[in-house]
Amino acid sequence: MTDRELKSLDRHALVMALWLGFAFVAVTMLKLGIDHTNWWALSLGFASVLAGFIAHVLINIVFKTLFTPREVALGLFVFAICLLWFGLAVFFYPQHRFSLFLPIALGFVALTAAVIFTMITWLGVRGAFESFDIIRRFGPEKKR
Amino acid sequence: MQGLLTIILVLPAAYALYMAAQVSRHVTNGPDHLDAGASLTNWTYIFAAAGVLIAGLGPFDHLRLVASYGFQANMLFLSFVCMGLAGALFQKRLWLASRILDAKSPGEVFARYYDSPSIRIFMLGVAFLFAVPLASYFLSQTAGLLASASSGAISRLSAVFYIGIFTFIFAALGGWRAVVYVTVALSVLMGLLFIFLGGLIITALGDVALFHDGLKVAQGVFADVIPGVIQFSGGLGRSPAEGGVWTALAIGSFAVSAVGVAISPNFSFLGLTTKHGRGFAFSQVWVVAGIGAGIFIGLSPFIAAELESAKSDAFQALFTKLSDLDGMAGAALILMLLSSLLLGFAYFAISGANIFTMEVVNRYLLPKLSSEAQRLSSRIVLAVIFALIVVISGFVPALGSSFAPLAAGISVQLFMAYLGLCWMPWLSRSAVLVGMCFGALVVFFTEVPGLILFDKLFVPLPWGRWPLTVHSAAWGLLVNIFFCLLVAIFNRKGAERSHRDQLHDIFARDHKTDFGGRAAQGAKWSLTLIWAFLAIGPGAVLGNNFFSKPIFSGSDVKLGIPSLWVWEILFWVVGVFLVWWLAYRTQLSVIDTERLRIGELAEDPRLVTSARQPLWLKQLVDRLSNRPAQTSRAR
Repeated sequence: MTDRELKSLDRHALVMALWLGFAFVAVTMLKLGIDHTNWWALSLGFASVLAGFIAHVLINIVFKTLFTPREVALGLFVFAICLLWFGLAVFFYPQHRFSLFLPIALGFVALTAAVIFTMITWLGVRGAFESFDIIRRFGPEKKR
Repeated sequence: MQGLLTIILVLPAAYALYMAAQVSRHVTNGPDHLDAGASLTNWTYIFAAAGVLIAGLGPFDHLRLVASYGFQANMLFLSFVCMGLAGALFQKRLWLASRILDAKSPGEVFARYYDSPSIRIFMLGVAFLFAVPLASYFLSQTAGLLASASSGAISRLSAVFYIGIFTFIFAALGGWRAVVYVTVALSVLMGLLFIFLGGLIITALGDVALFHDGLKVAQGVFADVIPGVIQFSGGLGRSPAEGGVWTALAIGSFAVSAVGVAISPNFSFLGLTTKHGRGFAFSQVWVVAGIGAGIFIGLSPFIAAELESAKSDAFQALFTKLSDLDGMAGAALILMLLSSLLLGFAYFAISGANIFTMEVVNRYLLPKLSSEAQRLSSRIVLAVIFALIVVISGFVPALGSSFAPLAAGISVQLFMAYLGLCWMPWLSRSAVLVGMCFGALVVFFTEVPGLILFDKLFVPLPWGRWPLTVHSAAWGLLVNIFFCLLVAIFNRKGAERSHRDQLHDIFARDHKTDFGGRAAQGAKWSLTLIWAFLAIGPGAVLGNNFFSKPIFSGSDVKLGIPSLWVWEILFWVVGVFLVWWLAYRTQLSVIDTERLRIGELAEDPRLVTSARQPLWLKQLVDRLSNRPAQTSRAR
């Protein structure tokens, strides 16, 4: 096994091990918060996701890597699904979910802010913007 | 609940299989399969070591002990600090010795240093005790917990078989590296869920049982204080100790047995398979003595107060309470307990199997195996070990639970051998061996198997288990030290001394420790002894009333929590500082690899494959392997 493969495998194992723990705690707290309309539990659920994200960033710092494309794709997919579920829940069950609107919305905002802060810290403002600049990425290649 | 239980079992299982498949894609040669090419990274050691030490002590049992004996049993968690201290004292030099001697396993390091196959055999015996009886005990407890949580939908026996077979498959597929990855995941899961459950019990279950009803200890047990320095009882099973069994000496001697886990061949194997050994200090100071001890000392009483200590299924009440709150909360409790038990079972069984493959099969039995055949041999040994474990935990669980306590007790008898290897070259082979043998005998006859054996065969012994409330490990170590020093007086300058001095000369030349001047050196060791005396020694009884009835004040102080708990937290903080001082400042655990010359005292390569296989063993293997050919010729 080459050093590069070893490093990649090590990082992958650590990322998964940490998310296994943080995700379980987060899901439990979020479920508890939604079922019992408890905003403390909801906040702690989001805090757990945030802690997992911070741990992931620390792993990247230790291993001197960035998030892999698969990790970014999975993260965005899960985030989008959760946002969609939240939007639909607010739309269809306003009487039940209104009391939870503020903590969940704040949770999503906090996660988004953490991601943007990380991107700006690592890539700079221009780099962070260019990450989302799909027009340039998929546009015609410039002649050299 | 069964559906949820299935999901929480499938999650770690899927992770284990996935990692095993990933590793098996990359690892192609046999030796790497056995020891991960001795290239595990620092973070794997940091997380895995903490998890293994905590699981080796057994949160499952200790929560029940705290529920039955109160804060006197909670003092046992200070043993984590002792484990950190033992790690600081030995782990670095053992790792360096393995690189200098080019030895792959702990048994090989000791055998080469002392030039003694007997020490190798002793270490193999200790590894076996961890790999089979202790692992069987963990598996048996896991199966019992699953059967209870599923209300009988999963039978105990089928749980034993399924878990045993699954663990074998992932270990055989992924090898040592996959096992360590899974150990890391289970450690993280156990730690996070323990914090989560503690927090949930404090905040979400209404009245906190610890403050409302207190700990529901057994009849006649003092819940908030240590019942004296020592009790002159014959031991467990002979005469009961008044106020509880955890006297100051019981706590101290239990800490000695906990050190046995930290210096066991199975745990040392993890350290030897790391690449740089730079994670030792961080793991010992911050993860084991710091966070590990801290969360158990702080949160265990809250969880234990919810248990029904009088019932055999002590966790059922808490499980029902949490499940009523939310199914996921109940599942979190089961997952936390399962991760600690599975971690102990899988780690000790597989590390023991790998040590056996390296030290017996690859060294003596079949020394000329190809790389691929080495992998096959390791899988066969793994299968044998797992078959033994499954049979014991499935059909004779009492055998596992009787012999399991011997593991740590006998392992701690290696203490003098470690001292000799790492610090005291004047401790000779015969001194160490004599001490170990007498110590192990004493442990055997102050533990359940020895007492049963003697009682049935001869006459009942006048003492029971742990006489005078002193743990068997400490009795053994006392006798061990006495005989070891006695023999060492007579042969400390024998011809073999120059052989041992070679390693210590290299330590002194290239890997110095920074104890400071005479005063600093004295301060360090004095502080360690004072800490041991007050935290886990006779001085711990001062903590009974130190904060609730201050000596120079006439009035009582209402703390709201027991004085003993405050005392324990105080000495935990001091203990972490102490381990930090020794591990980092004194550089007992900081490794500088720049001056390390790997294989400086390596074996002569000409001797490696031919001369070390005993002739009788060679003839036996030849006869067995040639038999089919002879039979076919005769026909």
